[in-house]
Amino acid sequence: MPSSERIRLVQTEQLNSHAYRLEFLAPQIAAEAKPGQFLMLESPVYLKRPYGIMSANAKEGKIELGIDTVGRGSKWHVALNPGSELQALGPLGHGFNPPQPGRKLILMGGGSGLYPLISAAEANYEKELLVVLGFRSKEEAILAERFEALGARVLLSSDQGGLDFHGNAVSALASILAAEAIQEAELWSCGPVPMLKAAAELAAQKGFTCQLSFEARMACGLGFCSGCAIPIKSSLPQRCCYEGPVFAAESIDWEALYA
Amino acid sequence: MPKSLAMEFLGRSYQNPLLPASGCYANCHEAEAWVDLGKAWGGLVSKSVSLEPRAGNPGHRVAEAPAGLLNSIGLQNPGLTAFLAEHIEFLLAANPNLIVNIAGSSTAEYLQLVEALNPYDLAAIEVNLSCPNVSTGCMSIGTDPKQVEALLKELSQVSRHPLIAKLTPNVAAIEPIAKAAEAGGAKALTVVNTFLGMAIDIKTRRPIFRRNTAGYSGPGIQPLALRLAAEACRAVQIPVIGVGGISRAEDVLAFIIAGCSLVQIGAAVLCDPLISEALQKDLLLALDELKIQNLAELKGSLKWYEN
Repeated sequence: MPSSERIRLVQTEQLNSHAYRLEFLAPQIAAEAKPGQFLMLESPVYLKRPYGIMSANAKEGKIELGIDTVGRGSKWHVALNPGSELQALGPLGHGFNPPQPGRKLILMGGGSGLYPLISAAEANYEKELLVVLGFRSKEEAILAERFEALGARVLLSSDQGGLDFHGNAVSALASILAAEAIQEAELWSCGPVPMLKAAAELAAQKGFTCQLSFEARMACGLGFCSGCAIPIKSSLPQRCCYEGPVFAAESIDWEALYA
Repeated sequence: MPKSLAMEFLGRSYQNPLLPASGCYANCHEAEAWVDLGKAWGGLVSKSVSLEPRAGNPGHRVAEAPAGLLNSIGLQNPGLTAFLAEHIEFLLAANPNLIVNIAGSSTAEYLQLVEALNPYDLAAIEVNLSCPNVSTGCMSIGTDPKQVEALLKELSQVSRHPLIAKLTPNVAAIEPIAKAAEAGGAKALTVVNTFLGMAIDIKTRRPIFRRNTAGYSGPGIQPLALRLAAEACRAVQIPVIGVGGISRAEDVLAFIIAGCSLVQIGAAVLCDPLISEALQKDLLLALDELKIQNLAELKGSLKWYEN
């Protein structure tokens, strides 16, 4: 069950020019969080802000959030001093469904989408993990070591070159899949919508089960307002915050999403 | 004697004056993770039900404002058949007082909705005459006193439930619409829906919302809504539900002193799913401070200045 908890900032670490890792003492949320879930965090304006939970350690009562500075809320959050206390609601939403036994797990992320994939990798460290992370440049590449520490094979791509693969994450993964005969895999992806759409197409070609984690403007994060609707094939739109943020790739109505 | 937050409304007793505002609480299932729906609220209000399912609006649907938020949901809902099959029994069991909010795009649709609800034991039907985010019905009817009166007359003839007219603030004066609703047979008013607003993306120079405008709610509208609710209370004999930016116990008290029988909580419950419990606690403390035993004593006690 989710709770409303006053959480305390333990430390903030800057990862690159715009990405930060924040560690909070949040025992109630840490105890309940499942891979792919998110929380709503008190902000300096009016609405709370949704952030994917990067990692939860129930034993230590700690959670980690990855925050990219994009607006007023995120800039305020990364500038907070350790010891600051904020109201948080969480864990929220439906995260990743556990993978089928015996299947390899491929995680693909870009932008702030790579943070929740850490929680997915931590929950599935016993599986064979292939992780593909896309960045704009070599300088932006972060957090590969978190996946490597879990025994994952990690491939980094950069739009501007200088990493394992020159190009975006989807073409990096496509080139691996063309070179290696990977069967019986699941693809989980979190990142910008064009990446998710390309991930869905690639997974469909390969016959992989595909789960996609979306980002949306949210007001409540609680399923109350229907403000974060994601278009779904042959049904009414579903709430990113409630039925999501993780959706089965084949359920997404891409045409309506781009309309 | 313990203090009491109980209020009377349309012949029913409400253990506290708080209702969730329609559209800000889905159909209440989601809130069960946070509160006991029977204790947290004096009554429940459904999300707007339309005759057919509505997918709602494309594009962005919410945007933050300095003291609240803009929304353009567009009445997404599963439609009457699914509402009756999947939601109404749950809502009736969750709290003794259920108000169902209906939104039609024509008189015929409103009539069908009202008739379909006749078999159920509702506290009332709230007639949405004020959604700013759809093209037909609602606000286009709700800004014209003649249409409001005519619609409520027709609905009153077929409804066995009392009808509450939910009014828009987007009019020059609230009194003519309030009086028209009363004349048409409305048994109560809800004052008010969201204020028409706008947000612009300064990089693309496009409106954030596909319909260009959206409904503004939150603490920024509280004084505006209070003015309209107070004026409506003064203009009509029927009871009024106050709504607009209420987030603190003193806001609730102000609306009740202005004459409201109940209040609805909208934007504030989006920010804090536990707010109804906090408000009840703070209301009891406020009664202590005011040395008043029963909240109901405050209703309509406003001493207007005569100018």
